[in-house]
Amino acid sequence: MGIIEQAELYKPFVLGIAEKPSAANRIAQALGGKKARKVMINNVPLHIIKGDQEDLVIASATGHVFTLIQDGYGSEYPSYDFIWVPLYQKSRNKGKRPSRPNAKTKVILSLLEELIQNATSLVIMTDYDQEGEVIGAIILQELGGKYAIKKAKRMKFSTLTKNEIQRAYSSMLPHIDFSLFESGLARHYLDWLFGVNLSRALMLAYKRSSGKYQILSTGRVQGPTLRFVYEREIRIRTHVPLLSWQVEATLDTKPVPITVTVKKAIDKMSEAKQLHENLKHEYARVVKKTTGIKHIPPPPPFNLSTLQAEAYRRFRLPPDRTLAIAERLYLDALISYPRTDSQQYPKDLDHNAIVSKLVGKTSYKKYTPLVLPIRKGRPVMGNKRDPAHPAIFPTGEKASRKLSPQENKVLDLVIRRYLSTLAPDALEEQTQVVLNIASEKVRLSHNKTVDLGWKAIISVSRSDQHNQIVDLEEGDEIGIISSNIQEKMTKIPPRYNPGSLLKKMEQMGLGTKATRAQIIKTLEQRGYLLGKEEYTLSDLGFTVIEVLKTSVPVVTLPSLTRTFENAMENIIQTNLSYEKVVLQGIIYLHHVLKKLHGGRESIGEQLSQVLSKPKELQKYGKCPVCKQGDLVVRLAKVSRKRFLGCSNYFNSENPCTASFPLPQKGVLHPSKKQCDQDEYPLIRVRRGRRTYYWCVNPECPERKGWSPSSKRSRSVSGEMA
Amino acid sequence: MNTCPIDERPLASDNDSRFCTYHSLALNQLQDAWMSWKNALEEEIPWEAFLSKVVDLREKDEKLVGIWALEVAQFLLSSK
Repeated sequence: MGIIEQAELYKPFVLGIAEKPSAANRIAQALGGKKARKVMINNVPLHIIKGDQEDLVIASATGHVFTLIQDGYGSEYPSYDFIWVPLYQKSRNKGKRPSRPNAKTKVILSLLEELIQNATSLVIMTDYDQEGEVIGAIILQELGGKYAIKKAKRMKFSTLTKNEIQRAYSSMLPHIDFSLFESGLARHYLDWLFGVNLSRALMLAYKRSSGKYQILSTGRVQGPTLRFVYEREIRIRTHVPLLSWQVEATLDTKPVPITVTVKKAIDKMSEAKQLHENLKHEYARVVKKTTGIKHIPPPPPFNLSTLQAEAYRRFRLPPDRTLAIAERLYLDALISYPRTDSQQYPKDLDHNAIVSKLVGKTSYKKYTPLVLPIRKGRPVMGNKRDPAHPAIFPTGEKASRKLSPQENKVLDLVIRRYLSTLAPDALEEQTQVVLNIASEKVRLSHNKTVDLGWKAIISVSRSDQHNQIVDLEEGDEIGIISSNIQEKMTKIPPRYNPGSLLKKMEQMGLGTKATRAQIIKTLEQRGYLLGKEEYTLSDLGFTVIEVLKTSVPVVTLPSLTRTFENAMENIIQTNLSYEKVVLQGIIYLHHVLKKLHGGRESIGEQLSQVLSKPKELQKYGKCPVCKQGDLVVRLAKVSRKRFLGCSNYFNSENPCTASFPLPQKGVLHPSKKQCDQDEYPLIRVRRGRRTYYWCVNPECPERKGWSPSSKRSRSVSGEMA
Repeated sequence: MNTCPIDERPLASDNDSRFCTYHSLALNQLQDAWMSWKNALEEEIPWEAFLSKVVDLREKDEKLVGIWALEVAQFLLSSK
């Protein structure tokens, strides 16, 4: 029986294609309510809303169901021919049988194909952005041909709330956004061309030199991103401190003295000494005092980058995780579409309706008088715009399921930021005093919050304490009780973390809001970046960037990728032909690949050197038995349980067989600390949100008090492998 | 082929370089900092004394001296 018969579609029907099953479900509920009927065809849901003249059928993809692969066989480069294939055929060209075809994708595609061919009209209901446009249009192109793309209409929405979906359906666009689609195509093609060819150049050079296979990758965005970390790493590793001095004076203010910095960053010691000497015969004179009330406006609404940065700063949530959570919240209609650059709300957004829904929840009720009526009639907004979507805002809808703690945190962050943009400015009383001390102008300031305003909604640091500065008056002369010289040395610059690297990519125009987090994740997965909270460049990362920098420096510079980003933007703004952009990319790439091919032997040798090194094991402290080796994690031969063993176990001259049990669950970190009881190394164990220290000595008196059933003491003795 | 005595990488392309590119960079940083220290303190600091100070600083606080700068300082002190 055909799909049409199974779904009992006897009337003409309109076919809507959503991006994900959960989005299809929401759209069906919003448009059909109780009339929406869900039928399962081969375990794939289909939503049918019966109409008088024609029915509406809503089907869904599962994100990208088509992907680009090489047209033809082989893994050589250059390779400039590619085709779209269903996701389950991805491994077709590697000379293998398709690895167990993704049965569900196959069913979804066959269902969509039959529906597209029988529908009277088509509506794309995917997310309104570059990726959504490509997902929808490629499904139509591959399953229905070019005619299907031309006749399809487009629904444009930013939240999955009932009102917005109904509005988007009744005023849908007459066709898809062709410039957005072509810009998306250009991005896919360029990413494929650069990613596949550059990565193959590295992998084949390594294979030629070592005879081994290793996944190595680089690309249009990966290369420059890795170079940021590389340059920072060099600054860190070659850092030598520079000297400077600062002179401080303690002033005889009442009731308690205050210490002020008279001059900082003095680059000659003699100058600092002279100033210090002068202060013995000097006093401080207040030459100017100003006070005033400063208005501090709320921060602008979140776009994806600022949400990711804030979630990392507050909760240490990696950017890709924040994006995944925000997408789930969007699919649950709790927030607007998160993949946006905009810091502006839609003009017709009904803030009163959203706020009244939000303050219905106990945790936000107390903010009602602050946010209603809205500050000065309109909320605070930033400058950044995005033609496709507004800034991220909450919808005020109730969650239809229990949210995870992390989802609750991100949702709370969005709600509080939204409410704060509606709240009045915070008011601070600012006192500024200028002192003259030994001919040096010393500026002091003190801010006291007098009205919290929006700060009552977002917890930020604020000062309410009294400060002696406030009591100083112009013309006052204050004695100097003492003074001192402090030597200062420049410190190593901070390493990038997921949040700061994402910010740097954004500043330099690398990648898009949707791809940046994934690029960082890929660099971690390839083993180029080590560490989770502070990135260190691995030896492999060093070598990859070195070989690229030497042979084709341009692929490690942000300027190349920025040129293509601008070209893709021009496809949307000025109707620049996408074929032209891709062709330019191929010409450029060909030149780059020629250079890489010329230097393949030296590239292969360099990669072989670093990849042939045994991986260095994490050290957890000195072995307490032999006092020479280091404690490293090993796995028991039979049980495969982990334990700590001495690195000297394989030392033929002086072997050490010491071993210590470990907790079998949780992530282990060396702590550089020793147990107070027995001076054995302590290991930091993180399990979920709990972190504790574990003394490696099983006989440690600290561990005796632990109950046998306690998770902390449930470790097993390992044997040396 | 001559290699860097510290990490056995190829020597920097500079003709009179004793180290690989990275340790050469660290040596440059050490020399620049030495000049800056002499200028700031307005006194002659022997090169070895400066290198010993750098090694001490790293022992005291890892955030003051980079690992390559430390390696170069240690190498130069030990090969004296």
